[in-house]
Amino acid sequence: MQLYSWIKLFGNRKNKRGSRNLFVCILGIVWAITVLGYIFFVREWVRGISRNLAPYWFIQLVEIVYPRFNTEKHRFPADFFLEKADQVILRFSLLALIIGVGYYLYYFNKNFATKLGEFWNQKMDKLQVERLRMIYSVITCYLVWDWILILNKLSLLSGFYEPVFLLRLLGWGFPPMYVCLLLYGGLILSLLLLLSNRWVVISASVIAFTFIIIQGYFFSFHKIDHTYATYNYAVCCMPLLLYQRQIALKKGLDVVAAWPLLLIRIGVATAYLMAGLEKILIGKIAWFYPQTLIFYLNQHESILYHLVSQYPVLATVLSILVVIFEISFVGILFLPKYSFFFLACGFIFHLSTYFFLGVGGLLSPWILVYVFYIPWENISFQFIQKNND
Amino acid sequence: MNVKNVIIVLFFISILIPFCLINSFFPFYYYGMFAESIQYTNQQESFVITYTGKFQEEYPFSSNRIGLSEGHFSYIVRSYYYQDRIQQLFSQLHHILEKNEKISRWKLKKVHHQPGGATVLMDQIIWKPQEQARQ
Repeated sequence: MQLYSWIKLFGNRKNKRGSRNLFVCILGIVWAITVLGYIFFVREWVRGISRNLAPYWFIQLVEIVYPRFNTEKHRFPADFFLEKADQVILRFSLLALIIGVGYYLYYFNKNFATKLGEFWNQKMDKLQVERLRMIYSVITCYLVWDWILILNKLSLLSGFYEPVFLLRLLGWGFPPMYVCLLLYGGLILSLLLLLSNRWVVISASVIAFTFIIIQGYFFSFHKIDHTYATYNYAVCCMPLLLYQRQIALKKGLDVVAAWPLLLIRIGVATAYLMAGLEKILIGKIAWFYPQTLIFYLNQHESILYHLVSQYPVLATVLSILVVIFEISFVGILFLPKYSFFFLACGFIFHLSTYFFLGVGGLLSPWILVYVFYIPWENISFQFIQKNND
Repeated sequence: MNVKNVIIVLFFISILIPFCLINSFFPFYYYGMFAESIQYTNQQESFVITYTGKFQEEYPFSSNRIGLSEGHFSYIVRSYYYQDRIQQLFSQLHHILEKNEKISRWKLKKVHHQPGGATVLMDQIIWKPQEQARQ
């Protein structure tokens, strides 16, 4: 009875403040139970999991979430996994804290709520979407033109196929060549339709589906690659952006809701932010030791290796610059005036990783996705304008 | 909550779950590239695969022959080795190469690299396709 009245006090749906308090309470209780459960039980199970000294269901769960654990447990000591498990709890705690603070600010700080509303309700000129549609179609054609050759090569290695998360969920095996041709044909045809401004929402949706599925097949051979990681945000959000354009066209508006474009920009910026945070959270101070960069340069037989090993301080400076760039790139979302500065830094960063570490390429998808930060509606293309007239 | 807000929330969840669980769940990525401490990334073990051709000579197997990079292939080999599936790996390789070449024996050596530069043979597995066929 007491519990009922307590819930009634906090969870009264009519009383908005009460239901908000209930949410914060539930969040706090879930967090406390998770942390206590981890400290008293799970941490010990993680310590013993390499020697099968953990409950069966926990071992099964780890195998589902971390399929490579069975291989890596032979390579790394138990402390390595314990450190990772501590990190998981630390990150969930950090997330709970951010959600709690965000929730508090949203409901108790009018200025924050207004600014957040303004951010997500931004509009843009429909010309921006039109130009992005064309640029996106051309770039994606360039990225995928040889995918059928890769699928053909992988079909010979289908014995090594081990589906990635999405394909495991769908229960799809490696497809026969005619299915590969169908997927690839669908992707190319949709790109051509999108470029020629026909059935744009359906075409963009087919592109998103085939782009992700084919990539899934590429990475189902024991190694996930980050080549298209940020470009995937663009691929997944383009159907939403084009749908907003369709709504604007139907209503006869000249402006389009910008939130799908904002999602793409946020996705790309947070990818850099997380890459930078990982270096601090996982590598810790060791990431800034000169040996770390020297090791990676040596591993990739880089031309920079000899110079940096002669001047170790240069390695530390470069490591610091990398982390500063990755963490500060998110500033592009709040300082659009300086977006060209952030993009130029990104371009130099990716060129450097290509030349010195052999990662990516001159026209890597990580660089190409920058087109979504460019205000195309402000750029004058006399030739296109004449054609449109 | 309207559709727009649901999509925005799902989008953030898709970004945050791999970050919190320190793992990629394709198509949702974890961005831990080059973040691992070198005491862990520094490989102390390596795998060498060789095969015996029709003139009874032993040749080193290069991953280029099946169109994979050396790094990617060693990833696969390590996986099969520790999951006790190395015969399956040999069987796959044999299946791919047997059209062009007669191979009588496959061998895998697990080598440990010592700090001074010396190498120690830790394990060796031999697989003969003919014997496998007879079984």
